[in-house]
Amino acid sequence: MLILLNKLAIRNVKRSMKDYVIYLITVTLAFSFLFALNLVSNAKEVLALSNIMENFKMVMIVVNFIVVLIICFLINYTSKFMFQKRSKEFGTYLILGIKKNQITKLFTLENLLLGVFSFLLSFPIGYFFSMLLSFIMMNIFELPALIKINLSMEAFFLSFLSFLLIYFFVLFFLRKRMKKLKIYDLLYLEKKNETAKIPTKIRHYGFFLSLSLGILAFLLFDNQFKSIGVEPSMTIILISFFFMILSIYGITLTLADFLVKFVLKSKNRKYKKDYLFITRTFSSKIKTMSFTMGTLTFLITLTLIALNLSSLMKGMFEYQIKRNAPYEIIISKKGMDFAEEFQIIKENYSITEQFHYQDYQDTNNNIRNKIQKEEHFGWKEIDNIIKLSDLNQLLLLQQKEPMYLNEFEFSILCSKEIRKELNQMDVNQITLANQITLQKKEIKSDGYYSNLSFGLSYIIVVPDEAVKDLPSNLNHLIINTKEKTNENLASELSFQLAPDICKKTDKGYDICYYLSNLVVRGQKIATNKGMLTICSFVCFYMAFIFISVAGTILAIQSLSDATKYKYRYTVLKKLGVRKENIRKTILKQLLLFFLFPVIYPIIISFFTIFSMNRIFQISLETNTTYFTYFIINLFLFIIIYFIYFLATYFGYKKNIDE
Amino acid sequence: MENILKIEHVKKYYGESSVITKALNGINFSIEKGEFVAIMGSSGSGKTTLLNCISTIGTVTSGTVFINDFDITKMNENELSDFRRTELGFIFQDFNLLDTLTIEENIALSSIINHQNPNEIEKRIQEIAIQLGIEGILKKFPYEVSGGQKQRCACARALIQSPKLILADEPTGALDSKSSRMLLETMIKMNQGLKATILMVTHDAFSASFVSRILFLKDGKIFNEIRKGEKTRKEFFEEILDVLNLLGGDVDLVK
Repeated sequence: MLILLNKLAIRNVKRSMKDYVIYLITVTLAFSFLFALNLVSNAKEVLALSNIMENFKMVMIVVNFIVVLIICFLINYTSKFMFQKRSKEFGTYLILGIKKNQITKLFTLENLLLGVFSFLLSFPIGYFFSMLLSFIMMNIFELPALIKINLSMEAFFLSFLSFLLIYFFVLFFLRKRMKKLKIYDLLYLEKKNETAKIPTKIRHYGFFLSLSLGILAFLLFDNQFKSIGVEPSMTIILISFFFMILSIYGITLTLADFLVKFVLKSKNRKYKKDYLFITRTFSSKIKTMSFTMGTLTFLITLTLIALNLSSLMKGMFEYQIKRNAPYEIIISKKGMDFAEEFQIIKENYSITEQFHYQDYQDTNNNIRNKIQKEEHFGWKEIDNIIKLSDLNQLLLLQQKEPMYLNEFEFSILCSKEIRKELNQMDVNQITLANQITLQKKEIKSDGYYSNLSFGLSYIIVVPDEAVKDLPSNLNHLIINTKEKTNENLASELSFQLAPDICKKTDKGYDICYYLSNLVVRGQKIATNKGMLTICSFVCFYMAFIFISVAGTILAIQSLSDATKYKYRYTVLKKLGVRKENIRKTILKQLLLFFLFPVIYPIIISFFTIFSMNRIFQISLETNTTYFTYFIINLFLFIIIYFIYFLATYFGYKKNIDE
Repeated sequence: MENILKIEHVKKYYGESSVITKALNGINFSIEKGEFVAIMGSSGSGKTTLLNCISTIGTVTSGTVFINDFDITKMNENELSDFRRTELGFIFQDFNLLDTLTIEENIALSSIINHQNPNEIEKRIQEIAIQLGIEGILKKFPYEVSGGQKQRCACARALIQSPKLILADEPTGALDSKSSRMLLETMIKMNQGLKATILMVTHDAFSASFVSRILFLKDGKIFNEIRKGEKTRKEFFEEILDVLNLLGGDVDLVK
């Protein structure tokens, strides 16, 4: 008996493979990514890249857990779907006297076989992915060679654990479903009318209710990002998040009816082209799977928001590098003698550009005394002054336009954070400690970097003659090198500048603290890139899985409809609709089906990035950088999504044409 | 003669307390061993509901159904499974063959579950296949054969366990008239040659004229009963039409 059951299971799996190619590919890819990231996050050499990579391992465990949940959702959904499609087959088994637990065994076996197939396949593919990731990391960290990824037992174990966890839940739900079965329902399930889950009246008002809820959610969210310095309240953000989820489900549940009402209201629209057919097909589809659609919409929303957030972070890090380390090396100190530092640098680097300047102190504190906001104070008590010619030299090294001042004029160069306050400040005229009086020309942020003012967020730029008799403050050495600097140089220079806070170890230098008077670009990049890598990896990984899951569910649904409702198209054909018109109708229908769960997420993700930009913009290149990010991410999303759409369209066409 | 099927006061109600549909409203009848009985009635008269109650697919609201002296209304799920496998055979309007199995495997499925000797199964399949004229298509898959052949395969599947009772739900419903006639002749052969007791539900007078006794259902009750006796098939057909006229409702009169 078992022989035949096994044979049946294997045959059914073979048949399922044809129907569920897209699903299998997605599950295999998901398992492969899971395995690849387990490999990478457990590789010793990866962990050694930077201190921050330790966190990477922890983050990946959390992220993998979320991914496991999502895969669980997909597999459970598909198994439920397969089950419905084959209800009659199961009914026949029952009526032939096969016991329910035998059928459960059969179906469990089939599901497991499909799972094991994907899982085994994921090892070679995952290994290949891990090498790709290693290649990407080599580029990010500018490593001389590929990181060797060992096939660690830990990675195998983690992947296997995920697999067990997923199938534990899937099979648990499957058995629960099987238990409730009645032969009658199985045999006559196909003949049952599909019922809408929510009454029409509620649907109609529900649409407007959900829309208002969405707007409320946005207003609450937006209010938390009104300006910099105001700590967003986590509670309110969570509440707005909750409202947003309600609104997403609400809109998905009610939009179909709203559309039907809209299209069918006017006779002109109703009888134009294939509108009637498409609207009716579409709305019946949405109504019967509205909850799933809601979940997909939610997943897509999360994807877009995650991508946007990752871009904002990335933009912020890049801008920070520019702002904190515009040159390869900046050393600031009291004395004039940089000979020893030069010595260290020259050992391994060839200097291409170097510049040395002094800044001055103005004890009159024209600006410092007028600063109101505590967070703008900085830790220095005295105004800093820089000569125009020095500043222009610095700007030139950054390939920026020079600044111009007339005699008895001054400008302020400041960070974006403080600019607003300085603009409001009454400082049209200042008198320096040497009794020279200057008129304000402008306040600028362009070309400002944090070490320029060293301890404050602004610096006063004056004509060269105006610094006469002012006490000098620090000597600054700016160096650009041919080779890119690294963390090692930072260690050596720190040791030279402040031997007491640094300890030498057998392996080399071990930095205990960052020195504020030393900037080595390579070190800044290494620190930030670690963070950036984790952030981007996580976001892109989750985004990819979410999009794939959404695409797969839509594909499975559409493709099964292609078989189920084949007669609809046969009827159209018999009514005299041409083949190419039928194809056009199919295209429109699928497009609508795939677009439906995307439109609301696009709107939501735009508004969220728009709000968050208020906080992020001071750390971004320009105030509209966020829009570029939004477009790029949307494009990225659409590319992957479009692949699923195309696969579905061609599959659908094939099914109908047969 | 011994009774294979005995139905006593069977009632089946659908719906909530305020709107009750009385699909079966107190039905009593019995079928003897070796009989070929048809149940006729217009749409909504309760034919399929009755068949579902007998076939253990559905449950009764009240009353008892005895098959071979077993009260099926009192059995639990596993007992019912075994019972269906050993005592009942099914023929459906839309065949219900499994398309992943060949015709032969479809016929063998329930025997294999019964742990029977493979050689014996094979022998029995051959026997039945020759009787029903499907020995040439045993290795084919369901999608490779015609509707009539599929239905005869379903008959073979119903026969393989030598069940006490074969239940057929509109077996000719999806067939053309030529295939219908061939199938009905096959069923006569099953009834007379292989001594199978058959209960067939149909709304088609032509199909019904092949059986030995017909029960007419109307509004969930037995309205009339006629026997073929010594009449020719043509005479019996005329008589069925007369009763159907009396019965009213939308019955396919002409075939």
